[in-house]
Formats: sequence, structure tokens, C-alpha cells
Amino acid sequence: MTEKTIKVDYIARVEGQGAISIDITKYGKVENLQFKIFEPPRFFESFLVGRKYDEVMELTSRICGICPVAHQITALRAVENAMGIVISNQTRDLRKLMAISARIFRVMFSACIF
Amino acid sequence: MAKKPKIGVFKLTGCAGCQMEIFRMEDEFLDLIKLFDISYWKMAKRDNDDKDLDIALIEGGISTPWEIEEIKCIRKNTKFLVAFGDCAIGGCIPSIRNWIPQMESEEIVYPDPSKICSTKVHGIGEYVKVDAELKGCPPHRKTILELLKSALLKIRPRLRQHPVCVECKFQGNACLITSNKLPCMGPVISGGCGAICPTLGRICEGCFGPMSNPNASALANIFRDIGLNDEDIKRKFRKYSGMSPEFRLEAGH
Amino acid sequence: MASYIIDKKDLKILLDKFLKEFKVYGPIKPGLDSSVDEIKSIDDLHLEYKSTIISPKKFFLPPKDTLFEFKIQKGNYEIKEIVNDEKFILFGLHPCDVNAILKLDEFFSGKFKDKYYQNRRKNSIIIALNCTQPGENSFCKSMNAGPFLYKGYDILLTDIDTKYLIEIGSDKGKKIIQGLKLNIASKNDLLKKEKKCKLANKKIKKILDPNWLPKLAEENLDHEIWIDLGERGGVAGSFPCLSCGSCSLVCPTCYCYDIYDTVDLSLKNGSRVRELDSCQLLEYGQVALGGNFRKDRKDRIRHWMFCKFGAAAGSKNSSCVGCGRCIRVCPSKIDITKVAKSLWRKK
Repeated sequence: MTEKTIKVDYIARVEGQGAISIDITKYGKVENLQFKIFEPPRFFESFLVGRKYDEVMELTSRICGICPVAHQITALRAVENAMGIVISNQTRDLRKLMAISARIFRVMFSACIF
Repeated sequence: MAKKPKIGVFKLTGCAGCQMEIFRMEDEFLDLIKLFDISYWKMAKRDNDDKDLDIALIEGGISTPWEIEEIKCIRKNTKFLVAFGDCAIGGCIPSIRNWIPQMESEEIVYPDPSKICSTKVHGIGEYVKVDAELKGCPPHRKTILELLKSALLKIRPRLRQHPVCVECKFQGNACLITSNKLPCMGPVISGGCGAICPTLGRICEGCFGPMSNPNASALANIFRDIGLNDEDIKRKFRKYSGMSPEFRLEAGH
Repeated sequence: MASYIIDKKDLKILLDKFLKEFKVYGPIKPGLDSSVDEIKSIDDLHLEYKSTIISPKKFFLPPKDTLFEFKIQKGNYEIKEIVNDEKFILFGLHPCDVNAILKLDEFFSGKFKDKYYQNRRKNSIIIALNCTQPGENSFCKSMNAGPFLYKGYDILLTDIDTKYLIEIGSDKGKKIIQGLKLNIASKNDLLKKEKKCKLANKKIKKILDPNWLPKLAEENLDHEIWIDLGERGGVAGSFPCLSCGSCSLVCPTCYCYDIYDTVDLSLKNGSRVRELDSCQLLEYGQVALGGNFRKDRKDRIRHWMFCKFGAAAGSKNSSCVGCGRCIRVCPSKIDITKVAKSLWRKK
């Protein structure tokens, strides 16, 4: 039997465009979990076809305003893999640094505001 | 003190980057929220009320039927409606897909497109009257503050739409088009960013949308002279503001 | 006043003396894309520069300048004026730029005196450098503004091979080199300068007759060249105007500005800011209720060119000094001399 239901109508972490509902039994067992994303689709995969390789990083950073750096670096790696480019250690370290600092910002931001 | 103005921040088809820009005003944020009664802002608070708003900042374009309903509802409940960022003005980057048949897009991305209910992306101005536009992807915090302060003082905000070139000259940059033969969008793109990219030696990509009265065809001809082909030029204009009437011809309509 | 000479390698002595007493600004890069910025030692100074991107008017009329700060307290206004009293030297200005400053002087100390400008002007010392290598875009000779300078300087340098000829133009200039042991220039040195002047004059390829420029403007208000320039194919190999405002912002004699107030979030403290404006922008001609005097691009480019030809505001003298910055900076390759010549020819 469901004893407790946790229901969040919109999750701020995903810009308010997701919802979660969890049903928990008396013994703490999760009986039912529903995670909804009702963000309208934007079809990045579709319109990136036919764009030039150096535009991809800029366009994909607009996938998410909270974590643009992650999308940017991932796109960069995808392009490099496709073209067989090997980056130097320094470049890799700098990117890591950037990714980590973006993550720190994101976590700090979530901790402070929400 | 008079009653605080009620403000609402809404998100439609966008990335939340514009809302983040408000959060990221570290120095001013706490002062700012004291001046307004934040009535609706899903990203920042739990209990939201979208009735009788003084100001509504709308982020994102319109791409689903219920978003049309939502924006009309917001318009009804709001005195002063602001298109907040390029997506709300003209669809911004998601609008690149407007040139691809909708069915094709859906088939590329989703295994079962029958579950998807989506249309081409348009700015909110397509459906409701917009009182002010904050350009940018995302808008610069200075312009956001300028608009909000002007709203409090009940004066017209100073939102200039001069080209990026003006800000480049303020910074003392060499022109990337004439000195380096690079295809910079600066001469037709609205400033407000402080010419960040050209100052760092990168060309302007155009994220603030068209300036006031731009000469897009002349810039396209200059690009052709630099050595870009028609496809390149089309891609350049079909990026942040391909849907805007100023760039439509160059973006391939 | 007497003339002196200094070996090029001894220029450090001169500069070090200036650095002790003043802030010194000079060209910091060689070539055409130089800029006038702060000089800390002789290594920063590149006197062989050809032109700067932004003209030295930025020292007298900064792109963004806070005029005063205000506070509202209990219904009263409290105003604090921002006065910049820094004394500075502009080192190595070319004759065209010095002449441009003289033209700005006329504007800012006419009927209405602009004290912010005048204050900065009063605190400045101009050490000019005669231009021995004029660039391909320069037409200063036609505008009587170069390549050699005859007025407006405190000290004038001329490159004469291994030495610089130093001429004093004012008491200010005399005062700042007091105490330095400089050799008096010989007759031979002065002859060398004349020779250099002739050589520099020969290098200038763009020639105009400035006398017909204001008339040209008056007679051609409705010429089709303006439509070409604004909307159609451009003039004499150029593209149509983008109205990006670059030409007027780099121009050493363009002085138009905009004034506005900003307040902080308390809505009680603020400042009044003067920002450089450009007649090429749509907002420039805009008035209350959305009216606009120059809605069309062709009207704006025409207005700017007429202003440079010398027909604006009832003036009879050209406000152009022929530095060629607008020609170099224009992405559309619009050349004001070519436009003037086309107008003259099509008359």
C-alpha cells in the first residue's frame, strides 16, 4: 500500500519543464516512479545536419543555458573524433578545468537559489 | 513606498540561458529581488501565481499549440510584456529547423514521431503584442537591468540597437573584415554585448540579432568578395535571427 | 624659437624625463593598426607607426565619459562633478591628428564652452611627429593638414635619418625640455627636414581640391550617387553603405555625442554619461514619439560626407583632415575622395 507520495509538478533543476512523482510504501519501498519531461522538442540533431564543423560547438551550447560548457566540449570531442584530431595534453587539461569550473558554478548555483 | 511591481518570468521553447543571466547578476541580484514582487518564476520558486502581473519576461519561442494558448493567457494577465532574448523575438537557434520539413526533423530525432506535437518555431510577436524586446542570446545583464530600472522609474529604457562595430570602435579593435578578411557579422548585428568576440579576435556570430535598419544584402556581397559561397552566407544569416524580416532574404526565403 | 637635434638612440633620455613628470601616451604598435596608449618605457614606443585605428580624440572626448554623479536625498539633488586633472603628454602624434585637435578646439570653445573638453585640453602637451611615410589612404596634403606640421604643437619631431629634429612650438614645450642638454640644429639639419618634407609630399597619391568641396555638397543634395551609396551598388568600386558608423567613430574630427543618465538599483544615485554617437546610426536622428529626421541610409551617409566636405551647420571649411582612417576602416570600401570625385565628374 502506498503510504507516501512525493510529487513535484515542476523541477527547477530542469528549468521547470519536468515533473516527478514517487509513491513509497510503508516499508520505504518505492512502488511507482514517474519522471516526465514536457519540454518542447527543439530538434538539434536534425538542424545540425548540413552545418559546418566549426559551427557545431556554438550551436550546441544553446541546448541548455545552465550547462552550456558540457554540451560545447562534448560537441568539440565529437567533431575531433570524426576528423581524427588528437589534442595536446595542455588543451585537454584546459578543457577539463573549464568543465569542472562550469560544474562548480552549476552546483553552487543550485545550492544557493533552490 | 508604493506597491512593488509584480513580475513573472516564463519559459517557452528555449534553453533557460536568459533566466540564468538574471541569476548570474551576482552583485545586483539581491538588490533586484527586493525591488520586485516575484510572482511567477518556476525556475526560482515553488508557489507561482500568474495573475495580474505588471511585467512578464518571456523566454523562448512558440513551437507547440499549448504554448500559443499560454502566451495569449499571459498577455491577458500582464500589463507589460517583454520578449526576453532572441528565442522570444524570432526563434533564435531552434528556428534553423524551420527550413527543414517538420516531418523530416521528427523522423531524424524520434523513433516514433506520432507522439510528438510540435510546429515550426516563431517569436512570441507572431501571436501577441510585445511591449519591449531584450535582444541577445542571452541578453546582456546591463540591458536587463536598464529595462527593469526604467520600468520602476516609469521611463523609456535606453535600449540602443547600434551595430557591434560601434562597440568594437569603443574598444579600439582593428576591424576583422578589413584587416583580417574574416566574415564578421558585426556591421548588421545589434550591439549590447560590448563586442566581446571581436575583442578576443573572434568574428561576431550575430547572437544579438539584427540592428536597426541593417544592410544585410551589402554585407552578403562583402562576404562574397572575401571568398564565401552562397551556401556559407545563407548559413551565416540563418542562425540566430534567420526568421527576422531584416535577414529573411539572405537567409534564403 | 630655436631648434635642436637629438640622436635616435638618445630618445630614451628625452622620454625618461617626460615619464618622471607626466603620463605619456604614444603609439604602441607599428603599422596601420596601431593605437595610442600609455607608454611605460622606450620599448613600448613605436614611432615608425603609420596610423592608429582610433584617433587621439579619445583623450579629449572619450567614447564613454562620466560627467557628474548625482544623489537624491530628501528631495534635494546633490551633484558631484568628475574632473580629470591628470596632466599628460601625447607623444608622436601625426600632423593630421594635431590639425584635427585644432578643429575640435574650434568646436568645443566656440559660443558654448565645453569645460570637460577644455580641461583635458589644458592638461595636455602635444609632441607631434612629422609624417615621413604617409599611407596609401592619406590625403592630408589636399586638406592642408599634413604631411608636415606648422601649427598646434608644443614640440615637433622630425625624423632626419639618424637623428630627430626638435622644434619648439610653445612655452609649454619649452618648459618641459628645460634642463636637457640638446645640441642646436645646424642649417644642414633644417635643409634635411625640407628634403624629407618634399619626399613625403610626393608619396601622397590621393589628391583633392578642398575649395570645391563645400560647393559640391550644396549642389548635389539630390544626386543619385546617394541612392547608389545607400541602397544600390555603391560608388567607384565600393559596396553600399552598411551604416555601421565606423567611419565617424574613427574620424578624428567627428564630435557628435549622446548624453544620458544612469541610476543604480537604489534608484537614488546615478551619473550622467556622455557617449560618442554616430550620425550613421538610425537612433541618431530620432526624436520623441518616434520621429526620425534621417530614416534612410542614403540620408545618413550623405549627411556625414557633407559634414566632412564642410557644408554642415553652415560651415564653409572642410572638417576633414585627410587622415584616411574612414577609408581603411570601411568594410564596404567606401572612399570619400572617390565619392567626391564622382560627384564632381557627374555634375
